[in-house]
Amino acid sequence: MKGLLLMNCYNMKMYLRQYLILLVIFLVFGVSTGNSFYIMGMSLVVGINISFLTFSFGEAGGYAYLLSGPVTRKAIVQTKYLFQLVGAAFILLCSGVGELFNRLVTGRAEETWLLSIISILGIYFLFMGILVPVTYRYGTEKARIVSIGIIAAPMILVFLGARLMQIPILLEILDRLSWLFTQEQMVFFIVLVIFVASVLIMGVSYLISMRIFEKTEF
Amino acid sequence: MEAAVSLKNVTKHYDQFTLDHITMDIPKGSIVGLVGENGAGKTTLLKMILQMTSIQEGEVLVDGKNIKELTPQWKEQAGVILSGLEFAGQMNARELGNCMRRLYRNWQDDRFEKYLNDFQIDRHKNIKNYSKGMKRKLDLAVALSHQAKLLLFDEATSDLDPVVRDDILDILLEFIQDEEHTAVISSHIISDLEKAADYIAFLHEGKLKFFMNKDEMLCQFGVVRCTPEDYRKIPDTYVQGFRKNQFGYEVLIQNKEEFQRKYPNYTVDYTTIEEIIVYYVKGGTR
Repeated sequence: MKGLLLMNCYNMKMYLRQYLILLVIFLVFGVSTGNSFYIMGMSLVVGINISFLTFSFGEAGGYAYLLSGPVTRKAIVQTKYLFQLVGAAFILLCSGVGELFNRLVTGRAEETWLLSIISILGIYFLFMGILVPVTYRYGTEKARIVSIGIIAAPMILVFLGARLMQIPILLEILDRLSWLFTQEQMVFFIVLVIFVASVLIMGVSYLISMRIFEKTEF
Repeated sequence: MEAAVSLKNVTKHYDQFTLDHITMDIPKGSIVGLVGENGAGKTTLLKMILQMTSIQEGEVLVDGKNIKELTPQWKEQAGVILSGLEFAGQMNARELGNCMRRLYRNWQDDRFEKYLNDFQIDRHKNIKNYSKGMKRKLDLAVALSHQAKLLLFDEATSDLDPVVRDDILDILLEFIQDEEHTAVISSHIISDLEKAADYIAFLHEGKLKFFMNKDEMLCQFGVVRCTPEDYRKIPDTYVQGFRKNQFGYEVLIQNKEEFQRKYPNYTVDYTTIEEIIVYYVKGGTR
């Protein structure tokens, strides 16, 4: 698997340089406005793009080449998911660096930083958990179309959520819960639930991807 | 003779094509030339040996063992050239070598470096900027740098100039000196196979038309050029194919020696592998 990971890294080195420059720009922008969310958001975009790039290389003949050698289909899929973890670590690192610079320059910490990073990682795992098996099954081009749907989905959910909040019985439940938990606690709980769900989705996604790739012919 | 690879009734159905019950034994220590028109099934056959595509019927044995029972580690012994290095576009040869070292247990850095030097491959240039010929040479360098015992080459020399092709054929002939080494080469460049191959396997429309020793094949087939009247006198059993032209008929004869003994009035000319294939594919049949 080391060879496969190394191959992915080498194939991305040119793009990594470009993304690094972009991240530095967003870091500077974020520090100048006293807001570390810019680099957090951009690191999410970069993490997702890098994952798509690894698929492009595979589809261009990479999978066929690797499978002609002593590489198992399982190892190829495992490397892909390991790379998602590397992507998550990358997001965490960039966000941490952004927040560190922010604190050094502004002298104050972002109170919701932890909540934000958990949300961002949850979004990342959810996104990739859906996209990876879709890409294995239908290819990167169709997966890009699906990714637009995934981006639109939270907006639809927020719209539906706002509608749901107008239902009296739900309002009553929330009112009762507010006696037990503060609003911040409820938000943190919801974010944590979404994060745990997204990690579970990654697990299921791995099993689905394994099944798809075992049957793919080259 | 021991078989390096055995195919027994290997079959694969696609919508408009079937690789149909291919049975052949690839003798150890030989070079087998796999020939056939475009779409005959040559690449599919190689991919089935490499388990890149599934086998619907039949079985493939490598060194006597069914490949379904082997782990993919058996492919450590296979040096493969398929048209698949495009993916490595952002890497250079040195980086590719670093990756291969971690993928193959028997990777030989010194041998890889030697081939990079011999083929004059720029180690630091991105592979995507290589010419087709240079990519092929890099494929070959990789295939020969991990102590492979079985070479499976699909159009390995098609993008190379005659001088380099000649060098590669010399490398192949040297490779085969070890009787444990075997090569299967799919190629449209028949002259290369005539020079290097011991056996010729001819695939046509998914079927194996023949698998023969090359020298025996050239002894067995011949071409008779005759008038239409003389053509009609030739028994069906000897006619493998024919072509009409403005002067008469050109007939591909099999069992040439027997035919010459029975019909000494006919002149049977020598033929080439290329001619034999063209008659099989384009020639008429009775």
